[in-house]
Amino acid sequence: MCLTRRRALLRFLLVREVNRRLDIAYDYLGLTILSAFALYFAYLTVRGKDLVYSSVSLALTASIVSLIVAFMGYHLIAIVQLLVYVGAAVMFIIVSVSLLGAKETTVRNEYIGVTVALFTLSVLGLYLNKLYTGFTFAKVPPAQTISDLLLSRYMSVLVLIIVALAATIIEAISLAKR
Amino acid sequence: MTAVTIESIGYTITVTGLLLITIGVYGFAATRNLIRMLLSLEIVFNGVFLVILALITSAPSYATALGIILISVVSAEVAVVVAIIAAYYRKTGVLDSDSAENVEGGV
Repeated sequence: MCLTRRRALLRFLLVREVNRRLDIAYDYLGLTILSAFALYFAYLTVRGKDLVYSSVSLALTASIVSLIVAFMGYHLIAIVQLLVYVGAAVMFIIVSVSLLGAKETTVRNEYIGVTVALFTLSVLGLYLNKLYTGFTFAKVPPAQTISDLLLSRYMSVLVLIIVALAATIIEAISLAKR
Repeated sequence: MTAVTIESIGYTITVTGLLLITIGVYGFAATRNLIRMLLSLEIVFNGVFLVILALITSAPSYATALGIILISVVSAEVAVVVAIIAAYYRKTGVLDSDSAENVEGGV
């Protein structure tokens, strides 16, 4: 009887461990696919032939980045990024570029670009290797906690942002009216 | 065969952010087109955003507050820069950053 119970417990633990590893493997597969798409659209943003299509690629990159952010557990940030950043800021770029109708005539300097990019990659890679301490999925804090934090500890920052956004709207309107 | 652990997920997110930063820096340094430079800077922002969030998963409340503040600031920056670029293009007819210093009377 005792042996049967022990076997059942072992089987239960084994199944649980296999399921946990399968979950992580599926998560990893999904994340890898998302990352590959984000990098591909980022490349299209930088190297696209037309500025409008490059702007659309930026919107797709930012959307995929918000999916990765949601995957990490930060659902609130992902929603804000989709609504405010992709929905407002990047759409503003797309509409402005479309209305300007400007064509790209400048010549690329590939040598400088590759050199600076490789230098940045090596320096940041070394720095991040020291900074990286470990990863856990973020425990999603309730929206009440975040709003309390923003309205108490970060109140001054919030006021500054509100003033900056208001000034931005006024400035953008006045510049567009000239 | 190496087992996939939660650390692999953290590394993948950090490396993705790092590669996004590299692509953005490449685009910024390789071109002189103002709009393309802005788009490249936005790619850099997305990469930095991913790296920062991957590094501070132990304090999710502060990370969320920081993320919301970052997105607001970057949205304001985008609006200002696009408005300046539009005014510059209307005045000069080109989007080349090299000819910006020849503009008389500013934008």
